[in-house]
Amino acid sequence: MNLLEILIALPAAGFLVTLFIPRKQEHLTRSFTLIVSLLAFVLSLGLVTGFETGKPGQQFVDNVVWIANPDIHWHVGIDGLSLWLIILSTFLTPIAILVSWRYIHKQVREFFAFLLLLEFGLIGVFAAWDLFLFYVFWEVVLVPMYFLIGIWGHDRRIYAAVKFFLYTMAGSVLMLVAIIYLYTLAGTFDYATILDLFRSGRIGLSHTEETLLFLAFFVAFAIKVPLFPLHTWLPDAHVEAPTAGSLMLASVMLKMGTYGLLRFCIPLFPVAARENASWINVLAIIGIIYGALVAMVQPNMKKLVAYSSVSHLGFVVLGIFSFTQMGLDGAVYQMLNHGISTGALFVLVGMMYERRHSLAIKDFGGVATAAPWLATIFLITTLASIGLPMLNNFVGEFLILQGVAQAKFAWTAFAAIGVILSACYMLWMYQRVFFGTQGKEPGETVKHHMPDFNVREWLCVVPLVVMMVWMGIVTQTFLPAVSATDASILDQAGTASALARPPVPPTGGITHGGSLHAR
Amino acid sequence: MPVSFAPSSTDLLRFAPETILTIAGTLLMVLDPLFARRFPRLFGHLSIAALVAAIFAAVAAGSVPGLAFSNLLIVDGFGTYFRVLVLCIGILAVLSSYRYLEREQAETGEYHALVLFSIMGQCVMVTANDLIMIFIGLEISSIASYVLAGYLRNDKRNNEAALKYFLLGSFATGFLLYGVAIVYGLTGTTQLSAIRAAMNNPSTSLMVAGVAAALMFVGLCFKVSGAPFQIWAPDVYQGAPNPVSAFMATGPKAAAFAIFLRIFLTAFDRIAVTWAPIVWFCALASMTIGNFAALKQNNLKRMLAYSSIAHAGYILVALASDSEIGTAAAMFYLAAYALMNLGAFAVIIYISGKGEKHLRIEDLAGLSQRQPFTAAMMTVFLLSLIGVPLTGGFFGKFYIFRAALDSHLIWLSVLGLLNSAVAAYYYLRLLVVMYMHEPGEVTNALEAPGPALQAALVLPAIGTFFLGILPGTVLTFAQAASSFVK
Amino acid sequence: MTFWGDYRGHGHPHESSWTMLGPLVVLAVLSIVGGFVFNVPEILSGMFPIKEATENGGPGEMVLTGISVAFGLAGIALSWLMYVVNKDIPEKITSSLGGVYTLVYNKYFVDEAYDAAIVRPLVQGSESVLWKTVDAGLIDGTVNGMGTQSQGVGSLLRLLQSGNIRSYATWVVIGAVVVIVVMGVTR
Repeated sequence: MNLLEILIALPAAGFLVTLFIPRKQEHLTRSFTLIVSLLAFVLSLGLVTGFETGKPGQQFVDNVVWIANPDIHWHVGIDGLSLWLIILSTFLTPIAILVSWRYIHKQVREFFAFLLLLEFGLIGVFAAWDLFLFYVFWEVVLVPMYFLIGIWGHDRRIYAAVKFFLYTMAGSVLMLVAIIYLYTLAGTFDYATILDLFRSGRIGLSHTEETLLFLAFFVAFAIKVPLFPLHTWLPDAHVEAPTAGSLMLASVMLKMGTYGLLRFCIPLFPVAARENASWINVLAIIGIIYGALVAMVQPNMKKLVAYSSVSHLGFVVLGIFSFTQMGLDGAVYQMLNHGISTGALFVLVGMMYERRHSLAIKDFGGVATAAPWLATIFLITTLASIGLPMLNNFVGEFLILQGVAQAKFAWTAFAAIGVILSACYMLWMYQRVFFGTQGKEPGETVKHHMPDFNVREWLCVVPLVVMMVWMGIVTQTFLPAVSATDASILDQAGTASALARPPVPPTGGITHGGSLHAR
Repeated sequence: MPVSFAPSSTDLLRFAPETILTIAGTLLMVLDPLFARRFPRLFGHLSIAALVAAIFAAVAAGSVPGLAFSNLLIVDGFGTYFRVLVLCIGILAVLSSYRYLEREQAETGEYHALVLFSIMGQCVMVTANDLIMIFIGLEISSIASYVLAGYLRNDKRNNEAALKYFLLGSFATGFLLYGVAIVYGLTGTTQLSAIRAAMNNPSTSLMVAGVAAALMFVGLCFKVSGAPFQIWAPDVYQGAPNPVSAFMATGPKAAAFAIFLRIFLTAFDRIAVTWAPIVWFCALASMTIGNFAALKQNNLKRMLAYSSIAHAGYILVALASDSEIGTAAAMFYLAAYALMNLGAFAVIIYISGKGEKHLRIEDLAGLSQRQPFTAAMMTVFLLSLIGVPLTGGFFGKFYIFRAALDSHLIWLSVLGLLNSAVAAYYYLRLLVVMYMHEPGEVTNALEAPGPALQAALVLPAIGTFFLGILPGTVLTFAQAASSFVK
Repeated sequence: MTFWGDYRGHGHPHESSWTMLGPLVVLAVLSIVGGFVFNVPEILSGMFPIKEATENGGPGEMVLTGISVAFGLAGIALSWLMYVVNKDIPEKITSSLGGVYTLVYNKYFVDEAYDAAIVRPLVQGSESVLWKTVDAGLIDGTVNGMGTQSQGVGSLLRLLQSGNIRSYATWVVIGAVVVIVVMGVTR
């Protein structure tokens, strides 16, 4: 077992152990899961130090046969893309546990166990290098999140949980068909082998096949991203989920979608990806503007942040489908940024909910007077989310816009509207929540319910703020590894489409895509 | 071939599981008047002992594969696999019967004897090499099931279920028998490999063969509750005693699928082009009807009945792919399906209470807070029924659709998998009620499950995870056994 | 903030003075000397490791700098003249310009114009059209509609189940006939 595998196994083991902690020992449960998640974070830092930037291919690889026939491997490894997403998961899980410390008082054991199970799934998704294994982790993530929303959520939690599950499931079954179809061609689920087979021309796809397979993968990922118009599960899920659920959902789970696009859609189906890029980008731009406008008019803070995610993730998709080095770099960087800053927003909104038991903007006002530190941190987060220079989002958005401009300038122009609108809705909300008085004496509405941060809450927000600044200034920590991987993805996409693919060998492929019965 | 009525010792070994079950069943009936009062649980213990012994016998028989009794029986990997499967199903069904029978004050040797006879019939079916043997096995299994369905004589629902099952079942068996007759008339034999040979003879009328295959298809499709012959299943599963429904939805179904596969892939392989489209259609219809009809059900048993129709559809997909991979997939899926279905039924047996009063979905409300262990087990079964990875249900489904895509059944795969997304909805409803609703009076009144029921929950759960995480062992065996002796 | 002129002026009523002053002082000092002390492009380049075509500085840049500095200084001088040296001037200008002053005083009513022309339509349009109609109505309506439709299909299928054995037998017969015909004929 290498470090990566220990890192995958640790939360899973923690999950199992947690289930056997006696029900009454709630404090023990919390502490235990916190320790496990912190341990996982420390271990994951070992990945950073051991990671050699610029080395081609994956690192920390292990590849053993899981099931001999069909050929399924336990093949895990990381590259610059997965590295930081795994760190993001391990970084945020302890915070998710900390923010739930007092918030969760019903079925405590199960809650914290599910958070660890979620972490297991997330690390697995980003580390899997076998399509079957990837699908397994992809679906495993669904289960804890379903329960997190459904058991510990707000009023309409059941509707939101079921919607979340079914939406994702509907997309992923199509991906499963595509994965199996690839298997029937390649005879293996091992991703690296499949890519090799494609590049060497030993297997090929007809144009229709490639388009359909691309779409099957794409829809599954687009639902997860979520890309307009497949996004309607997200506001419900976010609003109804408990804080930790919203945090993990927004910060990491949405990235599973964009990760999938980068990792699988583009290298596997480069031609189709390029051919379909224009309408995908149009959808992404619609999502950017639409998400921002709808966010602007939300009366509920969580819902506002949720729609802002639709907008932000539109940028990421746009960056990915610009097929430029900078666009991809920016997209990946923005995935991480969004994880930090939107995660922080959900954490802060969650803290305000704990004080006031409301998420409605109109129930707040004048918070800045009652809780100046909360206001300050919230402001920093807001500014980060808007994309103020020296804070993290600026770098990502800037790179994306620049990359997209190289591809097609008109896209940049439209996407930039989203940047402006993000300032509108975020600052407007900030103003109403923290300064407005709702017609009373300043601060009166909230004074008695709004204590400032306690120590535990400081522990939650400080790492996030530090990361916002760090990622805004010292991009050298993160970008080289990301860039190297992006370059190789672009390379795969480029060479494969430049080499006009060989025609389908007569024995290999299935040429009639979708006949009723093929005999 | 000279017929010898003194079977060789190898023949006897190959027939040992059936022998053990018959002796044990008879013994149970004899012991009934002696022990019914004093040791009511003895019958359950005895039948489990007999089933375990039969499993050993089946494994032993499987180690000397070959024909027996003048080619009437064939002990091959396929037959052995299904023998072990139906015997395991028997054990789990008996385990979940303890509490039920005790509650209904109906602990008799007769019940267990009937279960053993039914399983004996299924063992005959899965190792039969001759249409007549298949028919005999089917009837032994069915008649015992008819009686079991009406086991609680004073329960109206039981009576209705038994009557419906019996009348419609006999009707369908008639079709099967008629098909056998035509095949015999056409080929002059009832032995599967001989029929296959005759089919390859150019002088054989393939149209008549098609009609014969169609008639047998009707009978078999009825037995596996595949659409459009599924109509009896919801009523019968709902009306029959709970453990019997669990048993009927798994044991007889597995055996019926076994002969379905064996007959169609050996005897009628030649005319696959005729029956494969029909199977294609029936698979899709079963999945769709089962899943969509289950959406609106509020009765747990009825919902599982529809779900079992849908699952029959998935297995028909494997049959439609008409390949060895398809056969192996069906074999694997039947095992996974049996485990998750028996487990889910065991939970229903647990909560339903005396006289099966509590069968509404809402009766599960808050189970996770009152009986977290049982709720966790039910979660495993439901996730497996949905097809979430790391459970047997997922791998089985995955493997079936892999076989289907291998045979280029692209649309069937797409529609089938979309169907499983629909199915997720009604299984999720149970999870919602168990975990997200506050406990109701039914769950509040529950006592912890007894040891037998615990075993009936834990064993399938372990099996479900085993098939989901380490499917290799079972799969290797199924793949090796999927090539029929032709 | 441009868009929301309405909301101006609610801010920070009770901040203690040093919290306001401190940052202001820092910002003021930095804005004067920052450019000389820190090499800003150098720092920013850390954010963007991919070197882009750098802008050519040269004389043009200095001219632009000079012009903007000059404008700033001129403004300072003017206001010093008007409000410090000779305090009558504003009074006179106000009385002589009348309506124009009101216009300018209210910043040409730009905020109000924005509000009427852009902000309100945007907010209302987003709320009633995008959110309530497209998002909740169209998209979610479709999604939930699919759920309702499926349930409807389920209810229809339930009707097949009459409970009557004879009708069940009829179904079996119909099914059988279809299967036999199809399989007998396709040969």
